[in-house]
Amino acid sequence: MSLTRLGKPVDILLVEDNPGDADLARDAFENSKMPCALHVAVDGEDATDFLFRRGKHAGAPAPDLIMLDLNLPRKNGREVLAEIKADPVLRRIPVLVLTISCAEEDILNSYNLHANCYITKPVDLHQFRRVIKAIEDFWLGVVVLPPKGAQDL
Amino acid sequence: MEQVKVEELRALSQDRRVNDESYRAQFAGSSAVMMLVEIDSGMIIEANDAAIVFYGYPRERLLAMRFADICVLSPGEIHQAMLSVAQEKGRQFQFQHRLADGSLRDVDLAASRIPFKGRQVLHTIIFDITERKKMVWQLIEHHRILVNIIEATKVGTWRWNVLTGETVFNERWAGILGHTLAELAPVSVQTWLDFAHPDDMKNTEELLHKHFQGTLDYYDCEYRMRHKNGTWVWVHDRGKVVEWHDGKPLVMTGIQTDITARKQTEDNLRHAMGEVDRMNKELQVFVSVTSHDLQEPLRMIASYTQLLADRYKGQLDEKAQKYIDYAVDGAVRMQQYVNDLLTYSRVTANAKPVALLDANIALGEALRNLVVVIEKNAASVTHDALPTVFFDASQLVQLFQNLVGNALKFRGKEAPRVHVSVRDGGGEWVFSVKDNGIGIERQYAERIFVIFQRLHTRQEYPGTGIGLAVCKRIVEHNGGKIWFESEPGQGTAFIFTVPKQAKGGAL
Repeated sequence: MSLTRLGKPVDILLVEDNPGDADLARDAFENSKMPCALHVAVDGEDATDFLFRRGKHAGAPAPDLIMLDLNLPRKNGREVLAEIKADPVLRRIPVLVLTISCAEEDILNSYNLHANCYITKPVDLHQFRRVIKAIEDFWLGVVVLPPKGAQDL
Repeated sequence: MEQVKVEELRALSQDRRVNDESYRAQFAGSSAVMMLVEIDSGMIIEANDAAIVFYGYPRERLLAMRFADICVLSPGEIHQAMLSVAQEKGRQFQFQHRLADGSLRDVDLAASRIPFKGRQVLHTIIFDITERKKMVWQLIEHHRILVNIIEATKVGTWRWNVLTGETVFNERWAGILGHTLAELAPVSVQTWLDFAHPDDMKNTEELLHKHFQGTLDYYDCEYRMRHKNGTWVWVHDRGKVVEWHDGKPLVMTGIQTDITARKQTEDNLRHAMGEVDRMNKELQVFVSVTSHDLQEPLRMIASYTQLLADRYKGQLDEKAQKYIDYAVDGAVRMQQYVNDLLTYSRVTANAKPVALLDANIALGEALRNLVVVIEKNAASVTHDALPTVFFDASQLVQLFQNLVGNALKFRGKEAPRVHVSVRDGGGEWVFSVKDNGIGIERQYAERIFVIFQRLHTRQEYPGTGIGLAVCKRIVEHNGGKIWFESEPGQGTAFIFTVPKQAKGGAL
């Protein structure tokens, strides 16, 4: 368990337009041992508003981890990823691209935009649960995340 | 000049008596070749110094000869000629004369009848026109060659006086525009300006200007001109200033050819390229839609069916569980098809330019990807030393991987043995992937390369039937062919060719 996050709930931003998919993720995280708050943004615009605390997201917390779908209405996942990685503060937050696509161009493109990892959503529910479990174990257990709200060095 | 001289001398010879002292002196000292010939006998009875020099005979020898001895005509023809002079008083002839050294000269001969010492003689003045005649023939020949070239190449010609605007066109120049020269008369440079497409004139004028300035050695331009039938013809116009005056262009000349057909072909090609571009873009959209939108609903079907099963565990009987399994299996398979379709389309949609690469390395990578399957089957995969080929690297890996993977999948009872070999087929490399597997019957030669076509049930051999279809697409995309040779029960060899020369253009 990450020492810096000890005791505090982990804020996860899930950018996912399909409510069915968001529910599956929520369902999977419900069994989590870690106290985590799952925030869902329903499209690319909604995601950047959340991250930059604009409009109805003015009071949004800074997420510790971003799970980003690529295929999104209004502003697609690639654009959101590019914006995050162009921002001096937001770019520290690990972005996990979580998508149905296993197209080579999507994989390359995401890493070119500095995604922290690329995960394809399995069709099978039990495999999907295993993937979410693995994300938890690794990103919330093994990995040391950047301290929240720290200023530039 | 020579003509004037002839007239003068003729006048002299007629107006004066030949025994006149001053004329005698003039006869003797003239630089023109002169002789007196007796009409009846045809004997040369007098010749001046110029004649001696010209013919090359000593005086006494020349004066002992007949006119027929130096003239190449037959005696009858000469007699006829002499008679005509005798009747008409004077005439001009063209003969060939033989000199003392045997050479032949073309001569212009002015003859007039005069009384001399009581006899009628011919006073002849001979001009050597050999060189002039040769030059004229050369000029005629040159002219003929030029006319032939102009006719044969169907070029319009023009010659333009830049100062005055006077312009000469040939008939073909007008013909390119569907006109005759007569229809266009009177012509000037304005004729050209009237027919040229106004939109193209800016460029034309610029090029002409650059040529006049000396920036361009030649004027070379393509533009449109109005045809009689109302259409525009494309012409290729080339020329050069051939006379300058005070550093300014005076006369320019050039040729014009009809290139409408070529332009049409270029247009068609451009259009076709645009079409290919558009289709590629559409294919990209298809790929994107397939990668994302088609798969999401399948995931929903599968996941939520499973979620239902999880939630209502214990309340469902065995049958219900079986139905759920079918539903999930269907969705999972559907997703596999979608992904395979994507792989298949990607062969052309995402093709990268080919590079020269080592086939050994590509095969090595394919075998590394198959390491688990190879070990599981206790298979042995061997290969010849492979050549370097022009290929998309990832496609060559995929090709080897699919063929070797196939060989392992359709194995017989014995441990699989796969051998990859190559032979030089002249303009192409002929690769073979040979196994000792179950073999394929001849009748399936075409079918096995069709996407999603299978020869076995999924229970016997899993898979969607994409592998060989992708292989065929890859091989053909790289300009080769693929087929198989097989003895059922003995094994199969998949053979494919790779051209040694890279296929032109983007692949």
